[in-house]
Amino acid sequence: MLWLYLHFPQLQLDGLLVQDDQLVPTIIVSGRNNMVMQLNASAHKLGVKRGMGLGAASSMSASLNVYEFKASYEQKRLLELAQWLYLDTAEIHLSKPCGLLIKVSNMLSLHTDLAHYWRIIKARLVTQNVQYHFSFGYSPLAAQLLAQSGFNRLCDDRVQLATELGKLPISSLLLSERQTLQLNRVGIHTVQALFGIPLVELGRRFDNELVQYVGRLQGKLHHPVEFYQPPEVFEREITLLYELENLDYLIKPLFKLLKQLEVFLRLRDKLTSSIALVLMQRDIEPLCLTIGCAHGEYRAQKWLDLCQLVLARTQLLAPLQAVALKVDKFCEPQAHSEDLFSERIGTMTRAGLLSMLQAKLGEESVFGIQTTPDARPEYASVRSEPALHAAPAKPPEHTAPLLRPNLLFNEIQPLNDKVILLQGPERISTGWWDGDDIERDYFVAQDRQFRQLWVFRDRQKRWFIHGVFS
Amino acid sequence: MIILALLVMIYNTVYIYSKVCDMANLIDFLQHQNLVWQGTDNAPLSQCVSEKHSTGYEALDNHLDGGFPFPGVVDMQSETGVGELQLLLPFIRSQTRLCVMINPPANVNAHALMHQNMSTELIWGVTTSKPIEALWAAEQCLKSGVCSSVLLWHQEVQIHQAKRLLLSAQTGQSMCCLLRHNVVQGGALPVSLSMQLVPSSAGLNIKVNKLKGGWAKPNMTLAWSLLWPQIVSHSESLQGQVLPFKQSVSR
Repeated sequence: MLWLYLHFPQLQLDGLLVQDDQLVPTIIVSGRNNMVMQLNASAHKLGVKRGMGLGAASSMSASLNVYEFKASYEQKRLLELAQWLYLDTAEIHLSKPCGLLIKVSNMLSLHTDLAHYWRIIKARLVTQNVQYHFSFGYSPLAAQLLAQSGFNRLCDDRVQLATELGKLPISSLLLSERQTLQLNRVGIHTVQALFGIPLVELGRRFDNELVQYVGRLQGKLHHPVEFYQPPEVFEREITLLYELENLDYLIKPLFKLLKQLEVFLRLRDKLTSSIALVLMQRDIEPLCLTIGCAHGEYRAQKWLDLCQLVLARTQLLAPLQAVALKVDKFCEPQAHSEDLFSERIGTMTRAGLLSMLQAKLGEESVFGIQTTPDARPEYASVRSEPALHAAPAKPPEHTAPLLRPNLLFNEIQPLNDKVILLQGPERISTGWWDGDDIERDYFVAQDRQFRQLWVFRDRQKRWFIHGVFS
Repeated sequence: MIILALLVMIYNTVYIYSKVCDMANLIDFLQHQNLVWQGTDNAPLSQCVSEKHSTGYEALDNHLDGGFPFPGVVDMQSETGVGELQLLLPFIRSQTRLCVMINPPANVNAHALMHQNMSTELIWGVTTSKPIEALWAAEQCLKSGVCSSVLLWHQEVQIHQAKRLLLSAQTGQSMCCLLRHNVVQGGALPVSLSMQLVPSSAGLNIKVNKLKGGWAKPNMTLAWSLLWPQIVSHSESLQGQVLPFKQSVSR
C-alpha cells in the first residue's frame, strides 16, 4: 500500500508570510523554553538557527520580529489544509502536530499514473502558500520519516525508497531516548542496520514497543489510522455590489446562495430543516433570521418562497451590505408512507403548510391544542406543537364524559348579568401542591341572550364566567 | 344600471355569437359562460352545486338539502357563544384531515373536544394580529389539501375575498366557515351557504339567508336538547332559579 506524507515544517510562519511577505527577519519562539522553532530566510541569513535560545537569537539583530508559537493555530491550519486537499483525495489522516498522511493506492485508479496524481496535489498546495516536505512510502511511518528528513522526490520504487530509508540515522526515528541509546549501545546506527535484524531476534533483546514500531515501519505489521471526515457545514456569504435598502432586491442574490445550497445538499442526498440567514447591515450588529421548514427541504425555490415570507415581515435598520447563509443541521430524506389508494389532494404536506404559516406569521402563531392530566380547567387544555402526523386511533375512554365548554376565556371574567342555572354544581378543589390551588363550584348557566355559560362560584361566593358553550 | 349594462353585455355577446352559430349552440355557449341560471333539478352537471356533507344533525340536514356544501364557503352570522361551534363539531369530527381555527375569540378547549370524542391532533390554531394575514392563512390552509375545514373568525369580508376563499376551498377540497357577528355590511357574499343563528328559549333559530342551488327556506329551530344533549334542560323550572343562589347553596 502506497502512502504519501506531507510534512509542514513552518505552518505558523507561512501564515504570517501570506499576510506580509516583506523580508523582515522573523522567528517563532516556543513559549515553554524560548527556543527558536521557525524562522524565515532573512532571519536565517542573520545567523539564527533552529533550536537556538531567544536571547542568542535576538543578539544577532535588533530588528528581529519575534512571535510566540501557537499550537492551536497550527492545528486549525492543518485541518484547513486537510479540508482543502479533501476535494482531490479521499483518505487523509491528520498526523499531528504538523503532517498529513494520505493513502495513495486507492486514488491511483482515478489517475493515469502517480505523476499525474502528484501534479494535482501539488497544484492544490501551491495556492495555500505553505512550505512542505513530502515523500511516498510503503508504510505510513516510512513515508513520514522520509518526508520529515526532506526527501522530496516523486518516487514509488520499493528498492530505492528502502535504500533511502536505510540511510537515515537511528536518531531520526520516533523512538524514546532510552530506546535510541539502547540501539546505539549495540552498535546499530542506521535504519539499514536495524532492518538487518529479524523481528524475532529484535523481540528477544528489546521491548515489545520497539518491535511494534519497526514492524510498522517495514510495513509488516498493520498500522491503524483514522481518516479525516470533513464537517458538514454549509456557509456562504455574498457581499452585495451596492447597499440595499429594500429587501425585495435581495431575492436575486439570495436565490444564488440557495441554489448553491441545493447543489450542496443534493450531492450529499440530504435535506435541511432550518437555515440561518445573516443580514449584514451598515454599522450595526448583523441580523440573524432563522427560517424553518418542518419536513426538510433542499430545493432552492421552496426555500426562497419561505425566505420571502420571512423577509416580508423583517424591518431593516440600516442599509444592507452583505448576506450570509449558514446551515449546520441536516436530516435524511424520509420516504412518505401514505395510503396508495386514498385520493391525494394538492401537492402540499402538513409540514409544508406549517412551515409556510410559521414563516409568514411567526413561529408561535401556529399551535396545536392538547389535553394534560390536570383537573384545573385552565391547565387541562394547553397549546402545543402542531401535530404533523395523523394520530393513531385511540380507544374510547371508559370514564364518563365531562361537560366542558368549547371556548375557555383567557381571563376569567366576573359575572355581572342575571343568569339562570341549568346544571351543576361540579366542585373542583385541587392544586394545593403548587400554590395555585382552586376551590370552585362550576355551573352551566344561561344568560338573557340564551347563551350557555360556564360559571363558577369561588370560596368567597363570588361568581365568575370561565367559558362559553359555543 | 348595472343590470342594464349586464343585459347590454349579454346582448352584445349573443349578437356576435349568433352570427357564427345557430341557436342550439347558442344556449350551450351561454350556459358555458355561466350566464344562464337554472333551477336545482334541471341544472347541468357542470353547474351542479358541490356535494353535501352531513352536519351531524338530522333536522338541519333535511333543512339544508343534505348538509353543508362541500367544498364551499359557509357564512355563519351569530353572536359569539350561541352554539355555533357545537353546530360544526359533528362535521369536523367526521373528517380525517385537519381543521384549522383562525383567530378564535377565546381559547379552544382541548378538554371539551376530547370529551366529545374528537382527536385534538387534528386541530390547529392560528392567531394573527392583522386581519389580512388571517385571510391569507385561511386561503393557504384551504388550498393546501391537508385541511378539511377552516374556521375563520373574521368581521369584514369583501366580495372578492369571499370569492378567493371559495376558489381555494374548491382547489383543496375543503370547507371554509366564516364566523361573524354584528354583520352590518350589506350585499350578499358569493358564499355557498349563509346562515343566521339566533338563540331562543326553545333552541337555536336558524335562518338560511342563502343556499346556493336551493329554494328559499322557512326558519327552523334546532332544539337545545339536540345541540347539547349533555346539558339536562330545566325548561320546566325556568321561572325559579335566578341569581343569587341562596336556594342552590342551601340545597
